[in-house]
Amino acid sequence: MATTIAAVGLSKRYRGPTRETPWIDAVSDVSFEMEAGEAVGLIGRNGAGKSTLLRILSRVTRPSAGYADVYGRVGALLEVGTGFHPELTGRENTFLSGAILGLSKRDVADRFDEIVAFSEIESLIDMPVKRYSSGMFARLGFAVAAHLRPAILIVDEVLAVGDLPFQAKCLSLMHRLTSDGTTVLFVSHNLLAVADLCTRGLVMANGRLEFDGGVENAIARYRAAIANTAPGSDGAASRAMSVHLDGETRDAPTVEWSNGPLRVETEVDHKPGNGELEVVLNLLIESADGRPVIHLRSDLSGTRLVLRPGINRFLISIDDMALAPGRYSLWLRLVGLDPLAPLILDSIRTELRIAGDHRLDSLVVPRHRFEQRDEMAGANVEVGAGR
Amino acid sequence: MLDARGSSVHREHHRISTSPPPLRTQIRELLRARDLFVLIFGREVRVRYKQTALGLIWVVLQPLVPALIFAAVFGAFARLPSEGSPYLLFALAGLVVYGLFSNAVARSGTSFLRDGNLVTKVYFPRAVLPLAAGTAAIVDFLVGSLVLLVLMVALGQGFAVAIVTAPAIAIAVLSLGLAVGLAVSALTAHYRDFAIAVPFVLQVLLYGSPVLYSSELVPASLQGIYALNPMVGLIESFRSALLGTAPPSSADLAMAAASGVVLVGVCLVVYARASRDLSDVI
Repeated sequence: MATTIAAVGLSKRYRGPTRETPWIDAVSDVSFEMEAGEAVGLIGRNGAGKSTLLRILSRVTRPSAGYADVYGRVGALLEVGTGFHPELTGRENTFLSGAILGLSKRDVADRFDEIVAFSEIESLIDMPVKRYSSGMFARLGFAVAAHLRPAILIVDEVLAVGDLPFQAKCLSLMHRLTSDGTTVLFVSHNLLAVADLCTRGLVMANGRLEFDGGVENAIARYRAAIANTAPGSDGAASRAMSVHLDGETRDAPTVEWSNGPLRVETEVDHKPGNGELEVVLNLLIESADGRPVIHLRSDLSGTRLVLRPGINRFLISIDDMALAPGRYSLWLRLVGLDPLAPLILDSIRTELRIAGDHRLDSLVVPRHRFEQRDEMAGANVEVGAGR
Repeated sequence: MLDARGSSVHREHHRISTSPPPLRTQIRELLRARDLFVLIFGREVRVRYKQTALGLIWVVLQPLVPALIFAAVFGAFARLPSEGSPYLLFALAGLVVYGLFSNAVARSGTSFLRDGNLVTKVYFPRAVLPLAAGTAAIVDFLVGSLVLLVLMVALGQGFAVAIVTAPAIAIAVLSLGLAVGLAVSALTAHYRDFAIAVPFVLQVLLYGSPVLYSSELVPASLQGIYALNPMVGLIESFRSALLGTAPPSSADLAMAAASGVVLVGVCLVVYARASRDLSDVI
């Protein structure tokens, strides 16, 4: 496979706002290589330097140090609808946006029907885009960029605006592009999409490239980094919270789990000097893209928990999790009861993997069963029970 | 799915580094962006009159109304001399050609500000934006010239053979306007002061050029400095070509050419320097 991007020591330094911070290093000493047909996810918190790195690679801005060799045409979509003018029609904007992104008029004309079909706005193509909904605007914007047919496609968090079916369509198009040899560099906070599209992940933090490797490991690294910077995690009042799932201590970051009952046990070591403290234990289960699915609070369940000096053991039992197969994060968060100053005493996170078939679109799957009734015979001929 | 340019048969190589690409590469990229130029030019023209009820009538009214006002104030009331032509034609010819310059400067000068979002989101040869936006001034110029020609016929003004030189003069005026506009556009990205100062300066320059009055009225002691303004020679040449008024002296013309060339050169250097980190300053 041929190298398409070879970045060596890329850095970008901006002038700082005050004399105390004379400069800001948005990107520091980032080096990596990418090959044709590779889909790479770039993840990191807001302000980690992802967008600046993309801006350098798409030639919008120059690096302050380092260099990158780029082989093949770069198509960058740092914002949907780049170059759209509200007064112009969808048709006019398609040509304009195509030209801005580097296509000739003929290229756009050749792909026009394809672009319009992909965007699903055939009937409104001759209407000024200021009358488009934001979703329609985003669809046309992405459609133009996706049909540039570049050797390297750089996409920065632009899927978030479309609805779910359109997001799925964009992802499948990017899949197809990579299998045709296009290199895709993809930035998203939607970790599910990153995991789905990419085979490799780059994790950035504070302008530096912290991790470069398999996408699963990259996502795990990123999550671990977030958990460590959660507010109050350095609260010194209590320490060493550990989780036991169904009696077994889980040290590994990932826990395989079959659906059904869940028991989470936690141990909290409370320093003797701190006295008794009334606390609230939170259990949070989030989907892979960060949406909360389950949130349980000890106080709302009518349970009074008191942290006493020494080892404290708390237990949370769920009879039926009713979760669809997939990856989730399980958080335990111990918070002081005082509502005015909800002190987070500790917070830990474990990845939870629900085994099973992934072909479900929902997060919740209640216990259920399907039947086919045969009225003539008066009996069930087909019974299938499941989660 | 890869096209010929992206395929591995012929792979475009590009190095991203701390220094901007060499001038040759930049010019080559600019020339390759012709389609973009045409589309932005079209957008500038279309957007201006979209959703207007009068549409093209505005293009006609814009030079005509000021010309009528000036004809009333300076021609009829103040009785300014107009070198043998009706003052209305004299003023309109001046306004049309000066308008080409000032519109080109104003439109290209603000182009990075208006499309800042483009500059910070996508790479393309930056100069296309001010050049195409400034060139859009040619549409107003052509309509204004048409109005002028119609009025010339209506008022019984004769046509001189020299009229064939008018397009060349217009191209020189546009080039001057684009060069100044380029410099202004890049400077405006750094300092918004230019966005405020330039319309003001263009207004002052209207009276510093022989648009509404004949340069014969300028005192002899000031003629030397006056001719340093390249628009003096250009406006007089244009008016002479159309209306047959006195052409500028060859000394004045040489002065206009020299100062024009210097101005263009200075503006291009300013642009080259000030446009280096556009996306970081807008």
